[in-house]
Amino acid sequence: MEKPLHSSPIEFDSTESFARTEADQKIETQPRWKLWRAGMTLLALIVITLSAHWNLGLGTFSAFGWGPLRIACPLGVAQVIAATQTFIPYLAIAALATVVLTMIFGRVFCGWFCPGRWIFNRGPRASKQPWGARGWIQTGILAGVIGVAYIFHNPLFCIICPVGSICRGALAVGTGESILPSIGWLSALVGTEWLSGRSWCRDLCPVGALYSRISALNPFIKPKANPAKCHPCNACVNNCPETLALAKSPDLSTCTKCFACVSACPRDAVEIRADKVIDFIGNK
Amino acid sequence: MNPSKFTRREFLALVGGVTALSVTGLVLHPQSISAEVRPPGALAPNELFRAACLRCGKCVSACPHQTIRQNNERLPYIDGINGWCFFCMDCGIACPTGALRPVDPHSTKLGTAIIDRARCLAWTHLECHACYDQCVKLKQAITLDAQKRPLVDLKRCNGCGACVTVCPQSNLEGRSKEFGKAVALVAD
Repeated sequence: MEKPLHSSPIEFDSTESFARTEADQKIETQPRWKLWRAGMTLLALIVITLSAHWNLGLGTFSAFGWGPLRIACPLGVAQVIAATQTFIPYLAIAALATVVLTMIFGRVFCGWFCPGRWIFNRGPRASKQPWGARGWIQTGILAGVIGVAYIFHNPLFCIICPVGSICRGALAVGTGESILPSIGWLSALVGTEWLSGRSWCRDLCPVGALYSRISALNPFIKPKANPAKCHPCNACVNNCPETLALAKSPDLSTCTKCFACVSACPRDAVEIRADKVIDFIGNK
Repeated sequence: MNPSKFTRREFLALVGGVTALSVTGLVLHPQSISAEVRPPGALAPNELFRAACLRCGKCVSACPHQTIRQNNERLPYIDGINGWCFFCMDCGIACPTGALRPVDPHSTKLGTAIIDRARCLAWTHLECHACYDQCVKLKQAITLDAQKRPLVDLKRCNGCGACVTVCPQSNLEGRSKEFGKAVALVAD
């Protein structure tokens, strides 16, 4: 029986108060990842809002870029190509840029840029979880979203996408429109999440599922438990938004590189393995 | 509010309340009777535009006059309430999918302005020619008749929406339709 992670919705992250009795000096040695992540998300939202306010046309999380330098949401692009049943080359190149970035950095969009990281995944977790079937459920939702776009000739998920709703809210702030539609839809999703005991980001989100599938090809940034220091206490599992148990060396394709495990580990046993990057640079 | 006193039940009530509020707003918000006017260079049938639009809002972000708005389906449309279309084609240049494309500004026709004679001040009460004064500078599509009441030349009108922007009738969105502007954009 798992303990509900966040007893209060106001509290942002429980890492500060969790399981840190020994080795307090690690706080000074580790960067404050949560602050960096929050700052990055906030910066991205401010860029979206101000670009709409000053009419810079930089776009949103769905499609971002200036001039010919463009990245686009791969799920949105897949839906548009399925809906129009036409291959759009420059759109596919924009999605390919996102895919390459995801292969280099992993699923960083979910951990560092998506504002949904801060509003979802905070409810109590149901005691029964479809642990084994989760990957299949996500893949099924992903295929269903693209299939629905193909059948109805309309990228329907883009309308209800919470990331898109947040972006629409940011645009509305920038251009002086009403943010009520965005807030209403997001609160409906958060309420459903709390009532059902599931997590949108971990169990349902097709955008995250697609990024996870791409991130399986990422060889670089991987948190690993140092077996010399690790004495399995489940601090990483309880703090990981994807419930990855590092002591059991899980499949890290869903890892969002948020480094909550690094901050949470009381024994400083989580190491970010960047050996291949170091080999690549030739520093070692 | 003390966070430790904020219970799960209260949180769910808050979330449900916000949801109900926005659903109510959505239902009460007046919907346009005719098809919405798309930004210039939009793909021709509305079904094709709906399929090709990524809903990213890049056109909204790029529009220099904040003319483009997003509807409940997150599709861009122009109603002329915040500003009118200058046919600068920034939206077409910004669009990542090609649902909006840069087109010739002089031959593009977005829609047509129609005047609601029951709401128009010149048709009901006294002389007002704000839309005429604005259109004379742009397209000369609005003319005044013998009683100095505005008439729209449907051939000349390119649907930029400047007459809607300058119309002095109140624009209280969210109320019933009789509070809207006296001139509206209608897709062809």
